[in-house]
Amino acid sequence: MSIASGLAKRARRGAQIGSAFFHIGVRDSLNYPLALVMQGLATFVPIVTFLFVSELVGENGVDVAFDYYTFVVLGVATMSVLGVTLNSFGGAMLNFVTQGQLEMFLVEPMPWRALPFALVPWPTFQAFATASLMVLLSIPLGASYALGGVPTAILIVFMGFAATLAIGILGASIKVLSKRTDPVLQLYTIAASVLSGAFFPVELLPSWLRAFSWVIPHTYVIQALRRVLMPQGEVLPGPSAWQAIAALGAFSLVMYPLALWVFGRALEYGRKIGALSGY
Amino acid sequence: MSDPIVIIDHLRKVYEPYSRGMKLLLRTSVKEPVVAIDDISLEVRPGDVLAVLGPNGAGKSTLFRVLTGLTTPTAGHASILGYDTTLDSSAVRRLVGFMPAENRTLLLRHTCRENLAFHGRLQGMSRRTLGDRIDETLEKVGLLHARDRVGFALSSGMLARLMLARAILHEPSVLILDEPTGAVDPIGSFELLGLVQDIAKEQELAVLISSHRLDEVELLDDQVVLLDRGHVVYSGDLDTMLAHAKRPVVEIQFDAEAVAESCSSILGRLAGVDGVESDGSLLAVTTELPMGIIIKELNGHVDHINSIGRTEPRLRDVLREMLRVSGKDLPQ
Repeated sequence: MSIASGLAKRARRGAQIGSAFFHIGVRDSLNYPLALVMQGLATFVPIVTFLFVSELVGENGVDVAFDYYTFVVLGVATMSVLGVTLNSFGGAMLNFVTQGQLEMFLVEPMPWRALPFALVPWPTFQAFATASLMVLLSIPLGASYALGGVPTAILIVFMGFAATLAIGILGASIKVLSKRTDPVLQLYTIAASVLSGAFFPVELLPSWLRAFSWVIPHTYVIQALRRVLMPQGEVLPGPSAWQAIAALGAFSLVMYPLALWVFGRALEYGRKIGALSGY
Repeated sequence: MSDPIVIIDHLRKVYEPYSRGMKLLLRTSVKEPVVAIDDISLEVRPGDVLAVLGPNGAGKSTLFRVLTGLTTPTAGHASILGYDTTLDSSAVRRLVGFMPAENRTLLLRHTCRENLAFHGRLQGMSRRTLGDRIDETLEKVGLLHARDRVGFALSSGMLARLMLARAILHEPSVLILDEPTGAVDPIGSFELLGLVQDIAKEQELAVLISSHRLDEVELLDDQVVLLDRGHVVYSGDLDTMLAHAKRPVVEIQFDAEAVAESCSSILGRLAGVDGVESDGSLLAVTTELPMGIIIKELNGHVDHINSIGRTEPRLRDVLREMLRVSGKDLPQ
């Protein structure tokens, strides 16, 4: 079998596994309609809150491209969608363990390392739809966006998904064994909230702290999205869209082999000591 | 005789206490190494139903976990159709149909069809074959009429059938059933086990089924492995095992423990009685004497007997007898 046909076969199998979990995820969400509605309603909270905060802050600073409201809505929307990508795999693993389904999945003839890619697409898609809704709803409230930047923005977001999923896999590797929590995601989430510049320009951070901002994928996604989606985004400091995409790509290239190796080792270790089914 | 599908060769699994690093993540009560299974060897051929019998903690589930690739053996090896369960785990998982003990492994908010479709896709079945195969399988387990009902709307017996359907959907070579009748009523249990036997014969499957209920295993009437604390205590046909263990026991239930005590000494002196054991107000009398003689003997000593009758051997009795034969002690 040639390498190409082998890869095609793997891709088909991956798509089959992914679509099976995606379908189940959709049906699960539709089974709880009130939760779906409440999730939609929750998008109003940040965009309304930050509408008033932006009035307080004012909109004249260069560091916020003269529009703090659009600036912060993009930050909040990105944080919410990347937060789901980051946490959904570990969360799903924990759910499956407590519901007694994880071992059943592990008995299926699918590569265990395919699980992150199978379990994350639906919640990420859902979060992406919610974040898009948040951005759309902010328009009548005064936010303005450069529509021409949307295709590049989508590419940036997808690269952000890829990079944060790698960190999510690392976190889930620990959660498989520790069951309730993992320091990787906890610390990363705290760091990303402060250092990514979701709510304020990164330039406000002390210079020694600012250096850490640029090791976090969130920062690249948020800064690049602002630069391509805000009408005067080009005045913002930080990497260009393509620099951000390259950085996120490089981050993924380094992190995926490591994260998948650690995840595989965690499952193997859990398998050996018999700790996969307990919680 | 056909070649064995399942070969288990000197299999041993020891659960070690967690390492120091692991203890930082999760606490455990395991302080010493726990030998879950020790030097187990057996073979299962196509069409065979092997009942793995034993009390809780005997090692039945660990044995099945090794066979399904969910844990790795400490020593020895197990293979299915030549594939090693540790080294060729993915190939093994394609050959095995697994029915776990708990029905919460099903997607209970989803319909029977959806459950099977999901499993089929994870098994790599194409959409085209899956549609027909799902209906065919649901019909086989008697659930076709309920195919669009969600798990929560099914009885325990129906859920067990759905789990069986999930296990056989992809036409495995080996069926592993871990206490499949745990939550099912006796009639449902017998129906389910009958179904398993039919499917095993029809599809030439090698079946391993664990149970701690002797009555169920009697229904299967096939090969038996009796496990205790990880060891094989008996391996062979069921009739031979029961012949060893069948002792004529008459159980007598009294009103009070004190009455049972006094009757115990009376019956203990009676010629033809091999032994009397008391458990509160219940006496178990080992004897081949007719029950009428026992009642006659007790007449005048007790005013009332709640119930009296001959009993079938319980798993514990069988285990005790087999351990006695092998010269080991009964577990506490």
